[in-house]
Amino acid sequence: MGAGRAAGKECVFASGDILSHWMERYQKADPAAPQALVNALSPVLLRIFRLESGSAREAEDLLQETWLRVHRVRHTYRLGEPVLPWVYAIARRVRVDHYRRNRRIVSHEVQMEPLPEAASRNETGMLPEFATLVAALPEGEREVVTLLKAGDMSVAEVARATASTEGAVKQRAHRAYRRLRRLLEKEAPAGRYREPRS
Amino acid sequence: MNCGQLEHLLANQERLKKLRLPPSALEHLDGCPSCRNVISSLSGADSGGGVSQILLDELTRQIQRDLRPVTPIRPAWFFAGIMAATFGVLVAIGAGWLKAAAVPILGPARCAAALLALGFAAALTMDVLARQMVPGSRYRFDPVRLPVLVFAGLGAVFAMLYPSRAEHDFLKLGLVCLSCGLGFFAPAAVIFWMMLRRGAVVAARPAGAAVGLLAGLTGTTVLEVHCPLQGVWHIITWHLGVAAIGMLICISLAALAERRIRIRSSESG
Repeated sequence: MGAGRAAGKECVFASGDILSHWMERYQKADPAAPQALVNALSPVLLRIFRLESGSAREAEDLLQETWLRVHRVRHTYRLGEPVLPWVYAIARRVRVDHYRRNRRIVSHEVQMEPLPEAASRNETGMLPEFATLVAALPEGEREVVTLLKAGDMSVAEVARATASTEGAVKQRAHRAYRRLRRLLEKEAPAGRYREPRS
Repeated sequence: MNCGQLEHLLANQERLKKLRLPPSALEHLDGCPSCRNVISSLSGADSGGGVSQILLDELTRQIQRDLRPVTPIRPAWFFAGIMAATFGVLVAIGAGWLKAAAVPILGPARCAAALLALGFAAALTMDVLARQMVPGSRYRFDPVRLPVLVFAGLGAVFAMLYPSRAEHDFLKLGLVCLSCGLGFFAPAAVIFWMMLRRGAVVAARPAGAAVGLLAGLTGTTVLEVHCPLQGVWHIITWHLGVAAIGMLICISLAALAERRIRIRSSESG
């Protein structure tokens, strides 16, 4: 995992060693450990959930359920292993269960969603936001690109988090980038990626 | 460099936030707006706002209310060892109880080759199953493709080892083998399932498939040692059939269990 990077009130993106240390303390019931882990991991989990669900409220529900489940299965973390793929694999399960419980169809054999109509430009000719672009991707490709970008995970970490192999992750990423390019080609060449509103 | 090559290059980058693009890629980007837009969308800042500290504090409080020390799960080799021991013991019991009638007919060399192939397939499945106990494990083999590899591999090995011949009472004798093999599949499946529950399975159906496949291979191996019938179609259909049916049974049970848990949790709110 990358080195720590402060983000104001948003929590520090902690390094892998620090997270591993806190996970060990968590397993030993150190009362400071849950706060450190929640503060370190919740922002990236929430970002991923927001991109995948499209709803801030739902993302917070998923975050809460994820932490409850992490707490229940904290004994399965092995010291020295990367923490974020472990947490995300649990989060992924929570998301699937949540959607199935709410009777949404989640399938790994998702039919390719039709690419949206070329998103209309705003007056300044800006391109659609990342969330809008990835919404057009099939689930497997969307998940990989979201984890690589919003989760800042490496290919190896994404492979672990999605119970897949690095080759399969690279293949899905490749297909996703091709789809994104074709989608963005519908926008005029002069278009520029819109910086998100802060 | 063309667009397809750039996509391939991007897909092989280790991290999106640390893109390393060669001069040829940068040259392509200069002349290709759509690829430029892809790079921009992938490397731009993330939107989504911050996290409420109130939410984080509440999450922390919920966890701290129930904070107790836990014993970390044992390493994967420990569980793989238990699975290997279970596999070995059940095969030995089967060979002892039913008699190893296949060995003198097949010959030691061919028998060893068949058992080696089955042992290898079982070892691959044990590896996948041990990793499925821990979320976020690194897989050497795709758990979803593993059954295809196992059945294709074993089918090819058996096709080479066993002769094709006219088989009388194919169905009647086959069902005898099937029921015998499933008789060893059942206790193996229970033991592997109990072991799996020590971990935290995040994908019930692939885990069920791995349990069923491994337990089924236990039954298949017993049959390979015991069954005196040597026709290739009998072996592939009925002996390997134990593994296939075992896998399907366990996938169905895993799906049912998952559904019950989901219904129970939605009822409890």
